[in-house]
Amino acid sequence: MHNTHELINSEMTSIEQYVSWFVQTSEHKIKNLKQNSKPSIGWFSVYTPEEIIYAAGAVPFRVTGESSESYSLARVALFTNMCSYTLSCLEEGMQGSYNFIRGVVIVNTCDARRRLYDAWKYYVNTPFVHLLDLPKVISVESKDYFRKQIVIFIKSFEDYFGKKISTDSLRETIYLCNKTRNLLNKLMDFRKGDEPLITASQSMGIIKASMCGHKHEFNEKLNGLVNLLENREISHKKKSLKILLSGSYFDQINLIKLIEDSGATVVCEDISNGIKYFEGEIDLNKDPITALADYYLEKAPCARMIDAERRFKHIWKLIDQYNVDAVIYFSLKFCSTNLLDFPYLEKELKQRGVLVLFLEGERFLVNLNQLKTRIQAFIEMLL
Amino acid sequence: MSRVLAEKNNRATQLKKLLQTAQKAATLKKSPFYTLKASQKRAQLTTNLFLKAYDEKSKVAFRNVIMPTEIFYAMDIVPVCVETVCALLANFNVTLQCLDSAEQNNYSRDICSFTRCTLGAAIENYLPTPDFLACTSYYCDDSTKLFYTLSKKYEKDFFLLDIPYDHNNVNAVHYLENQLKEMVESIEKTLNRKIDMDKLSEAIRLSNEARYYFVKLNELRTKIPAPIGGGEAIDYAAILAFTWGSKEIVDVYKTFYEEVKHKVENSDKPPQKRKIRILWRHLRPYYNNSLFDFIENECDVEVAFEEVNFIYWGEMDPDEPYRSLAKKLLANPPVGDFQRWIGVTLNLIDKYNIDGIISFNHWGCRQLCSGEGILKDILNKKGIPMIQIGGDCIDSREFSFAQLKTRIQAFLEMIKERNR
Repeated sequence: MHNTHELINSEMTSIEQYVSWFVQTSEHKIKNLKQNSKPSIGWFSVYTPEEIIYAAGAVPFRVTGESSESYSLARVALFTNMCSYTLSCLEEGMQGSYNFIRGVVIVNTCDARRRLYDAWKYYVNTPFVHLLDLPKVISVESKDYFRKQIVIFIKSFEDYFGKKISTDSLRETIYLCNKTRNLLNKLMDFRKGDEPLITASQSMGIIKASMCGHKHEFNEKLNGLVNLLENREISHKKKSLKILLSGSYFDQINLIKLIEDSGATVVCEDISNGIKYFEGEIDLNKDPITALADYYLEKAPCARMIDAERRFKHIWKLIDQYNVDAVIYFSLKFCSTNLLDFPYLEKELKQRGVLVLFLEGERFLVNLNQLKTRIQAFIEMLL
Repeated sequence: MSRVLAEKNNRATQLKKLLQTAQKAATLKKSPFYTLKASQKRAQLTTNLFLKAYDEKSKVAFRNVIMPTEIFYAMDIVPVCVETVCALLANFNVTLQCLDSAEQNNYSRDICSFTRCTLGAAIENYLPTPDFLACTSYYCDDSTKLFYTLSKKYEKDFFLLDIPYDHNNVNAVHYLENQLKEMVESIEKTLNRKIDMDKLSEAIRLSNEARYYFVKLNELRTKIPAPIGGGEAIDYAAILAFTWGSKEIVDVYKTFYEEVKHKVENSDKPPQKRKIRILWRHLRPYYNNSLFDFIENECDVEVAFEEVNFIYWGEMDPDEPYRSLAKKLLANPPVGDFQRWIGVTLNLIDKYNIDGIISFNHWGCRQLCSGEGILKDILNKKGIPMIQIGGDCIDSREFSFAQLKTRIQAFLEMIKERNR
């Protein structure tokens, strides 16, 4: 990893230098993983307990599908009306982008991911492919069931890699990942003021870098950035329209720039490349497996969980915390859970005076120009 | 949805509104495929149950297609399968109105049309207000979200049975069995009505009896030539039926079996030329169309079997009703790995002497259609042709029959050529 970064050994003194390091980490993810002697394990959902993979001595990283230019192979393997995040990930796999990795973990989050598991096993040459079942409800029984699924996951990992995952090692990696969570939450605090010290584009680059494995190094760098930001004076002079972004898988900086060029500021992302990845922390006082099960099942809710009311309450909490003026809800085409949650969430938000703009698009936003007009009109109306 | 809340929300009003709209739209169309008494009995039973759900005295449960109904019959609750209701609404010619209504209320056209149509029917206030809603996490995400949304709209209790993916695991049966018990306890509280365990055992016994006749019927369907047409049989869609556990369905399936048995035993000699035999995957379009007529009559092939009629579960133990129902739910082929389902399809191909598969890919279905690339690849390797025909069971705007005809004809010609 070190030799791919020009800035790694030099002193970083500006936000831009840090951000550049994070962006490079994300952009060179595959190259860095290939150079690492430890086995790489891909994951897709923020419900994946990375702690277990780290504890096994492997390197977990998020498969993002961003190098795929089309879905021609994946569309044949699956079906045309599948979410394009799933298709792009499978396309990368079928193109051989991940031939070097040792395994993938797919969480049973939705119909698309479940079929991704089937297709990945059938079409992609990855030795270890595990599906982790995840209940849709939160209850005593579902926590117990999920806990047992985590035990099965650990066992299958141990069997395949021939290495015992001890309770102590799990505690260590929970501590490590909690550290990342805490730092990312601190980073988000710098976006709560009237003039955020970190932009949405920068924040997304940092969050994506946190998913590339190598959390020790990431934590060290993010700690440096947080220290730098803590010494900055927060300005309260400028006040712009604050936007919360919510919805499906999303990492399109172009869209964020478009929103910000229209005169608004995106202050929080209630998405898997945002808050949903790192909010809260795992209780180190509990038995590690129970703590993992409880945290992941109860984490910032994704549309895949049944309880849209709980999701709404979480969004409402974010609106309050970030002093949000309006919500932009982005759903990938064919993402049923997000599409079906939207009318309910919109109704609840409107009743409380918060306007929502609904956008539907593909993974790579081929319809960006269409969206542009709608975004501009929405923001102009609010300004 | 606010319009609905403002309207009078009693069931008599809801039925009147539906019937008035249906009369304006068109009269009920009669299916050309119903040649058997059993089919007429089944259609009558479905209609009667639907109408019973509008009776103010009835206790009504909205359930999705695989939520076990044996529990409801044991508790004298009328189960309304909201997805099946969409097929019924297609007969009333009001589906497009329902779909429009859903779209106007911000439900995207990329959502499955069964879901959109149900939402639209609820918005238009055509459905009988339920006393509670119960849904399983399978088959699909759309269904679970639909039920959640409806529970908010009607402000009624909602129970979700979370069916575990890992169907072989002992934890899975235990997890599901406990959920079933909890669901019943919750229903008891909601309705202030206790379940009679003897009645539940009786419902399981009736379900077993109905299953017995349907399994025997499915054995008869292995005969060549096919004793009944797929166009008639597909509407049984036995695995989705909301009548398991009732007395009436035993009579329907027994009649069905006896009529087909009579046909087999009294048929003329087999024709000299064996017809091409097709296995049908998924459902059919429920609006006015002649797809099956075209395939079975104009193209002169046999739809020998439909996957929706494959009885995948074993006989249940009336003394262990919850455990048995949990096992039945977990036995469903789409639960778990797609290879499990493919295994079932391959067995059906052998059992019914199948020459090719027609798969009706319902637009918007992420669960049923999404693994077909894998299936097609496996079938190609085994030399079994399959055609995927795109369309929509409910939304006629997504169905282009003229284009499909050419593709289907070419597919069947290719099989005929191979079989020569």
